[in-house]
This record gives sequence, structure tokens and C-alpha cells, in this order.
Amino acid sequence: MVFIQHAACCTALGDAHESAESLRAGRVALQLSDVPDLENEEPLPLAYISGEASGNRPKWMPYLQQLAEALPDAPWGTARFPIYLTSSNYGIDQLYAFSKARDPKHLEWATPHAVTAQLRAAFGWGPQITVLSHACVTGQLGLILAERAILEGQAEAALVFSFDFLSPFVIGGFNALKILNGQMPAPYRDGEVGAIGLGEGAGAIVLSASPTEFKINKQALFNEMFHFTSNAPDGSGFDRVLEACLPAGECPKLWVKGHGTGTLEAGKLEARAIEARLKDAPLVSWKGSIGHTLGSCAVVELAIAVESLKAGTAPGNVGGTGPYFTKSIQPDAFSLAPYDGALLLSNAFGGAHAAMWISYE
Amino acid sequence: MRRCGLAMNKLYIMKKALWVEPSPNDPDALAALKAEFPGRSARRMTRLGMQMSHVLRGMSLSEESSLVYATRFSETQTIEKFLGSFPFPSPQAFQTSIHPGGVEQFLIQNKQSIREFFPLAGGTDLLFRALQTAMLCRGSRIIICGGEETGTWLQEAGASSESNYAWALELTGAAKASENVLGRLTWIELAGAEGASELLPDFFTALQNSKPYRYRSAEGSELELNWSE
Repeated sequence: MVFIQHAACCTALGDAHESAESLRAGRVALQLSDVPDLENEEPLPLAYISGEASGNRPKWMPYLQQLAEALPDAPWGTARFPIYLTSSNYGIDQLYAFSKARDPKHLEWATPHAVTAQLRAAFGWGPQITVLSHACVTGQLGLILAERAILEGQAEAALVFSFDFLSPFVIGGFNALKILNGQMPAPYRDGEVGAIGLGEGAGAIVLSASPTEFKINKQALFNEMFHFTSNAPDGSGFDRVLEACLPAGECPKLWVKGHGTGTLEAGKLEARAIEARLKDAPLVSWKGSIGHTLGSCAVVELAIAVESLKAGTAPGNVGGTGPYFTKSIQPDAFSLAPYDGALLLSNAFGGAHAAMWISYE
Repeated sequence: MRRCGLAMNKLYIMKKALWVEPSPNDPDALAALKAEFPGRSARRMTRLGMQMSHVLRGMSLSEESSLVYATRFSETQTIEKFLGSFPFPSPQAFQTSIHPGGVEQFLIQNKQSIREFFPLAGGTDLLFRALQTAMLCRGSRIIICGGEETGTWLQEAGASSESNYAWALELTGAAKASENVLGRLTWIELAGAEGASELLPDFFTALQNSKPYRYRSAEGSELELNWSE
């Protein structure tokens, strides 16, 4: 068995504890903001972590520094303590800056391997770092490989370190696809227009075989490959990942932190699949507040879930109001006493699905 | 076999496929590659997507396979195009610039769902990381693949590959006696392969020529590629 030893994150609402507390209070971090680099007519819902670039260091580096400093003491990045670095964008903000200014200082952070080298130098990590990038399921891929490395006896403990920060590259891309627009996101709302909000986030999860109160029961993946930006319309991808993650024929007492970005079709398919498989499980998404933190969302939201478990109360579905696609959507914060586990989901382009079932004492 | 407490890892090569360019940015090679795709579908694909499709076509991909994809720079040409489209960013260029689009183009075109797909980025030790990831896969067959494409201004800045290529290997941890094993990969990973800029190009050349290959890093990592008689 593999257990969660350490879970930390930062979002536009603060650290994991502050984020969980603010989400329980229903606070929305997303704000309609202008993006100067885009010829855009409307402000877009974005949730930034405040910060300023310093010298050659991107503005987000101090947040990663804080997360690294808070890690349990171990020779991270060595064979028995591997690191799974997960992000969908790494230093793409720096690549964008280089494309505009052609200042070579930006290249020092502009590619995944350049960022990895910078983090190693800053944090004293060893070279045993697997760099993953699979859009918005990236964090969960790191968690799956970290769990397996421990189960296979390769690793004593494994670190999943994750981050995604906003840049014109990312904002402009999602805006061009029209799913990031002038509307605030309202996950699982059965409305006319779907919309996502984008947020900045970073997180660190340490897994090992030493028992703690948070146990990983199962993780699962399924990649539909039906279309680049939409799911199979029959919702089969959602069913398949739930089928792979949950025990056949059983209905454990779970609450569900869904992917719930605010897009209509994916939100409807996800909510319906969960209702069909886990009849009485409350379903929530937090992306209506902290925004979609992209490749880091699985790690960031796991850290918030762990904080919620410690508090005994989980945030509800923040952002927007009903009517919702299903009755299982839980709009308000709720007690976790009736539940003995949580199911955490993330999705990505290409119809990628990832699921993690954790239980707790 | 163990050394310094670390296991010797071994995987058998059941299939290999390569896309090799005779000379850098050869127009005839690109035209021949485009001709492999029906109708106008090549127009919507990236160069790397076409290269990856070429090498993955012959692999025994199924829903139960595991796929590991390793690329340092991914869709360089589309990233350049997308960056050039500001302040009116192109939705098409954004969509195809997203890692791991090179492989997804093949999978989506063929409606090939797959349970495990681990796309890696990373540096000069990318081959070790991909092999280590392959050892953690649970699929019935493991396909490990990689590739790069050249750029223009990103290449001048050292932020893209200097050549176009793609490769794929179908691997298994336990080959049956009746199966046709092409070769085997063995490796010990002690620390990594820092700064080993020659590792991937030399490995690709060895695959191309079906020649044995041995790599040893200063930190003690070892990799051997051997072929069946």
C-alpha cells in the first residue's frame, strides 16, 4: 500500500490550508481581467498568484521555492527518492517572452529541461527526475508513476512536484478555442454557454509505504483518443476510468472532487457518469474559484482535498448556481463524516481521463 | 544481476520502426511522408505528427498496450506558428502545439484508445527516463517512441532539434521462446546521464543500423543495446 506523507500547494487563494478554508467559505479567486497581449474585446476569468519577476527568475519561482523548502528531508532526485516533475506548460511564459523580446535570458527557463536544470540548481535535487507533460492530466500521471515506483520497490519515497502558471501563450490559446471567454465558469451548471477560468497553481505530494491516515486505494487512466478537444459523446471515457478505478459491483461511500472546468458537454458527461456509478456521492468542483490550474490540477486539488479531510469538511461546488446537470452536485461545504473515501478526477485534451481513490482513517 | 544494490533492467525488442531523413529538411522526404496520409489529412498534421504516425503504424497498439513517448522539444514548428499568430492567436496552432500532440495525431486519426499513455519531456537523460517509465507500465505490450522536428528561429536559439527523426520500439519484459526477438535493451541507472548529448542520437544511429550500442555515463549509468543473431 502507498500513503500520502506530505501534501502542499499554493493557489490564488493561498496555501493548501488557506485555499481549503476560502473554498469552504465560497470565495471566488477568479477575476475578469484584461490581457494586454491579446486583441480581445472582453476581460477573461483568471486567478493569478501575485508575484514579481526578480532578475532572471520568473515571478513564480518563489512559490516553488516555498514548496521545496517545506518538503520532508530526503535526498530528492536520487535513485531511491525519485522526483516526478509535472506541468503542462513548464516555462512557456519565458518562451513567449523570448518570442517578443529575443532576450536570451528567457531561454534559461524556456524549455522543460531548462526549467528542470534551474530547479535542480536551486533546490539541490539529484538527477533522478522524470519530466512529464500530458496537458491537464499530467499531475495524475506523476502520482501514478510515483505510486508504482514505491510498489515495485524502486523507490523508498517519491515526490510529485507540479506547477502551471499563466502566460499570454496559454490564455491566448484557450481564448482562441472559445472555451475561455468573458463568462465566469460555473461547473456542472446546465446553462446555455460553457466557460472555463484559468488559474495559477503549484503543489508537492510525497508518497511512501509508511502508513499515514491517507491511503491510496487505486489510480486509473483511460485515453479515449476520440477527438483532440472533445469527448466521445456517449460518455464512455468517463465510464471506463471509473470502472478501472472502483471495485466492480461495489458502491463505496465516497465523495467526488470532479474535473469540472465549466465546459458544458464534458461537465454533463462527467456528472452523469458519476451519478450512474456512485448514486449518493456528492460531486464538487473547485475550478469555479481557483480556476483550472491545468497540468498541476490533480496535485493542487489533492493537497486541498487532504486539507479538507483534516478539517472534516469539504468545500462545495464553488462558482455559479444551479440548475445543475445532476442532483449529485453539492453546492455548499459539507461534512465528510458520512464518507470513508474520496474520488479525485482529472481530464485532458484527447479525452484523457485519470482517477484516484483515496481512503482515510 | 545487481550492482551497488541496483537491478539490471532488461526489455526485449519485438519490433522497431524508424523515420530517417536522408539530409536535413529534405523536401523529397517530406513529400513522401505526406503522401502516406489519405486525402488532405497531412495538411492538418504537424511534421512530428506525421513522423510519429509513420513509426507507430507498425506497432501492435491496442487498448491494453502502454505507450511511452519521449521528446525534448515536441511540436517546434507549430509552436513557432502559434507564437507568430499573436495578438490574434490561432486556435488550430494552439491545439496542435500541445504536448503530446505528435502521438495524439496518430491515435486520434485511428480512433485508437489506450489505457496507459505516459508522455515525457526532459533533457539529455530522456532515454533513461523513458525506459524507467516503461518498467512501471502495466500494459500487455509496451511501446516506447520518440522523435523531434527542426525549427527556424527556435532552432537558431538552441530551443529545437537540429534534425527530424522518429523511432518506436515494441518491448516486452518476458518474451516467449516462440516469439521473434529482434534484440534486447539492458541498463543500470545509477544516477542518470547528465549532459550526455550524444546518447539519443547515437542510440538512434544504432537502431538504424541494427548495430550493438553501449553507453556509460561518468556517473555510472549504463545502457546496452544488443541484437539477435
